Amino acid sequence: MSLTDAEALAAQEAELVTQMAAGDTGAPVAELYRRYGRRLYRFGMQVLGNQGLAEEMVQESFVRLWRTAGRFDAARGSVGAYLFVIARSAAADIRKRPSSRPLLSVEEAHVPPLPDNVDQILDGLIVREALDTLSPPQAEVLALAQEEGLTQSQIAERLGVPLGTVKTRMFHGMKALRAALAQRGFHAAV
Amino acid sequence: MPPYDAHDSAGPHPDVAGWVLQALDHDDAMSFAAHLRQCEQCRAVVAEFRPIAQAMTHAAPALEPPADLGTRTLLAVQQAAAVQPRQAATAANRTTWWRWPWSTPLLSAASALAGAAAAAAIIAAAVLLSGHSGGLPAQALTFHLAPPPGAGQAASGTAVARPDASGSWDITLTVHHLKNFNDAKWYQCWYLSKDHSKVASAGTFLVPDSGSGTFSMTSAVDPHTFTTMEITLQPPSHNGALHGRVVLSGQGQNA
Repeated sequence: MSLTDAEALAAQEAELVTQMAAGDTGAPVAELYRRYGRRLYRFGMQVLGNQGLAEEMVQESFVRLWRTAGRFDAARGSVGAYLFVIARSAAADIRKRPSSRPLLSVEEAHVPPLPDNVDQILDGLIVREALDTLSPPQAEVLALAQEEGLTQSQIAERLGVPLGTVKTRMFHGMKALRAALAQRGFHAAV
Repeated sequence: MPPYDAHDSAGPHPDVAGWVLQALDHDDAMSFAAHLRQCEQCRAVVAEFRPIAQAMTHAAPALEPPADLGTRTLLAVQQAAAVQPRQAATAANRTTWWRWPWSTPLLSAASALAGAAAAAAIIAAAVLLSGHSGGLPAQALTFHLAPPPGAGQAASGTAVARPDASGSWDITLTVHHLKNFNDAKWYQCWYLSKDHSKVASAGTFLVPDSGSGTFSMTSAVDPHTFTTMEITLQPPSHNGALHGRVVLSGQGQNA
């Protein structure tokens, strides 16, 4: 994504927040949810470890965005950054709240242990989105190597494809992942 | 795969990915390690790929939110707006609010009633801020809605607008044979003034697979002044554009 594209996207999203501030609770909210809903939900699952609480966090984040839309200043940061500051606060409030629904343990929630800090969570969300852009065959070989620790010949046997195919998919998958991360501004990793 | 000593013209050796992911089989790993000591190009790519492989270990789980979370989120915002309408409305332009597409949240047939109350609160707040004093006629109006000439559609609809005790207008909209776009697009109901210079939204809705549905909406707009009703098909990111494609329209008539 070129700088011009990124600036245009930021301006477009700032305009959506302006429309929310002006009272439009329809299309601007729908569009921002389309862009950020999945990432927010995954963030909620990471920090809260429970589907119901993650859903509540997403809804509360957008409600708070609406309430504070008039105070949003595009000069101070992107809508995405602003939304995640809100989400972080909402998640913290939900975690602190006395609740009749106790937080599930990590094992019960079937999610990995929480990373050490929120920045690491946000980086993990970007990596996941980048992985989501890979072709299924590429994503599959990378997942089998990374998550299951299989060797290339084991992957070839599992998938029933030649070893050379696995090597090629793995190489091009890593190249595509590098490009997708760079496109998302994940420069710390590349 | 190209031999380790003959890949330079074709870029780095493909085994560089398996190396950083520690997925090479033993013999390949031994061979590639020996090659790597002599190949600057592959060492450079290893240096690029290694932090990516490290980042992959921290990737968030591939979880998908429930399909209806978007709709529930929209309703949550609208309900909040209904409780605190003034806070949002104060940012609106008082003199030109008529020209804004006062979109109500995306409503499914099942949630239309819940959303209508919030929509009424938002529009009522805007009316107060704009100085619109009401004085609503008590006569109900019916809009018989038909596709534009030449559209070749079989869609149809009827809307009845009745004044309620608060001075707003309760709208019962029934449509038939509209295409279901799920969440990709939605329909929006608009009022247009007599000269079509002013536009106000009465609500947003989705239709089920049958293409037919009845929706309840509330608007502060006086249909005796805004005498034309239009149903448009809104794209997912119209960013405040006043209109999508008009699929139905009609004039108000005394019921």
